[in-house]
Amino acid sequence: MMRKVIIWSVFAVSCVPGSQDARLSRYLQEQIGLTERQFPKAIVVVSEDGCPHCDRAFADLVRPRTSLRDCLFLIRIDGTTVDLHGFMVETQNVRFDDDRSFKKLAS
Amino acid sequence: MGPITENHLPRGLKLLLILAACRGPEPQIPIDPTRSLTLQTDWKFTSPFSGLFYDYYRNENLIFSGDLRTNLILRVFNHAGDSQYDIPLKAVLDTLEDINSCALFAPDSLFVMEVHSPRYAIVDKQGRVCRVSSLAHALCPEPGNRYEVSGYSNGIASNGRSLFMSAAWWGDCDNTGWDPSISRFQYIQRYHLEGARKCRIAKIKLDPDGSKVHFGGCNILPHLTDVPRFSYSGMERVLLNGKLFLFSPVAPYILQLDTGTLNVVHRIPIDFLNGPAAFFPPPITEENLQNGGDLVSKPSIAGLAYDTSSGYYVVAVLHEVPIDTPEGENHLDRPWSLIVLDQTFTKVAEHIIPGKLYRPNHLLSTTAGVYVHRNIPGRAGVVGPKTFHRIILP
Repeated sequence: MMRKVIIWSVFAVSCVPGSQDARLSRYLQEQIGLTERQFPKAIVVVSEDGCPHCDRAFADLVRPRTSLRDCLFLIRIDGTTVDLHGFMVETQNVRFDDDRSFKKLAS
Repeated sequence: MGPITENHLPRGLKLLLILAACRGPEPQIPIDPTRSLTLQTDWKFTSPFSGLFYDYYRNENLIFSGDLRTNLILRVFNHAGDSQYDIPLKAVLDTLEDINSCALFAPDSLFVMEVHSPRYAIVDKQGRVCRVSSLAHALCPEPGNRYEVSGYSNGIASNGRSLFMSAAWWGDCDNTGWDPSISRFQYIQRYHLEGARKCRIAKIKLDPDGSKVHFGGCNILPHLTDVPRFSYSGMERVLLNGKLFLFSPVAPYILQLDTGTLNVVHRIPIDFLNGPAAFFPPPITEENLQNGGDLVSKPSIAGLAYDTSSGYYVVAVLHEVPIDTPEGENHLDRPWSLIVLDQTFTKVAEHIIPGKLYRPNHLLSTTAGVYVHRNIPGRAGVVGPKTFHRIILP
């Protein structure tokens, strides 16, 4: 199940159509501050939007892996259902998405 | 160098200053930010794990706020927001599967309800699990009806003697399956039509020899019983001034229930601006089955509080917003009406509060007055102190 979620996250990023691709590119450059050469191979979103058990399990899976290079981790949790440990501080590849700007790219 | 006059200013800046001067006055809202109450927590204030307990012996309110995910503690404050003590939650989290809601029912005792389960635990001030028990024996109070109790929507109301939680009807006691002779659509229609007549609240009296559950508030939404409509089982409940009140997004009134019998004592219509403060759910059709009638953008009562010194009630009503309002701006960030009712529940004032400034569902009725939670967006609103501002009443 968890593997499926990761695959979907990666798949969603790699399959955005042309205009969305441009939006994603602009987002990564303007909001995350990356150059094109620094673009991640995968974007992993940790959220509390799904079933609480699934969100917790997914966060537990991601927590020890947030130092993975070439991955961008977008954190959209406030601790209501998921333990914030490991997601409290922004780093180069762990970023908060509290205003849901990444999700809005798809709308 | 002489004084700077407007002739010295660049033209663009001059225009900006003129525009700023022409801007209308800031809206006057009856909330005083200088009289605040601050809870020092670095976790989100969430209704199922936060609330008030009135300590009759010391004649004061205790405010509590719990964090079940990161810090695993529940912090207890006095009415002024001074931290009193922390109750560790690790033991109870190791004991129960997951937590639906919790509430202080004595200064040194915490009631903790398991998720989707009749099990509960009693935890002492040191965080020790004193008892794990089940309400399973009491959740089918009569042949035909099975209920689940929950405090998730707006927390568990406690007066020290009883706990009040919402009751969700789950169908027949002895037959919970889906009748294969009817379609899913017919099943949902039937569920909502029958469910509209069922009980909405449960009163739990804790007893080591078997806690008792009394269901009440039955068939209290008659306007939903003509044809199958989305009848949403949960009702929010709040104890104020020794009285028990229920409200719902689909009820244009607040109901006062007798705390003993759980029968309706008063039906208090709530209007805001020019309309009823609720959504009248449409009949269930194949077309609107997925969106539930689009409840989320409709007006609804979000909170209710009582000011002991003035005797006024405060009702917070969320305004309707367009159906296509972006996610994140369509729920608690909406403008809302702060309505003041007197002791006879007659409206004496209504003020419009702009959206995003406050959380109208987080009203605290303390002995010092009624406070509303200041909204701090983003991460700072989670890890920073939680500030409540006092509502100014006539």
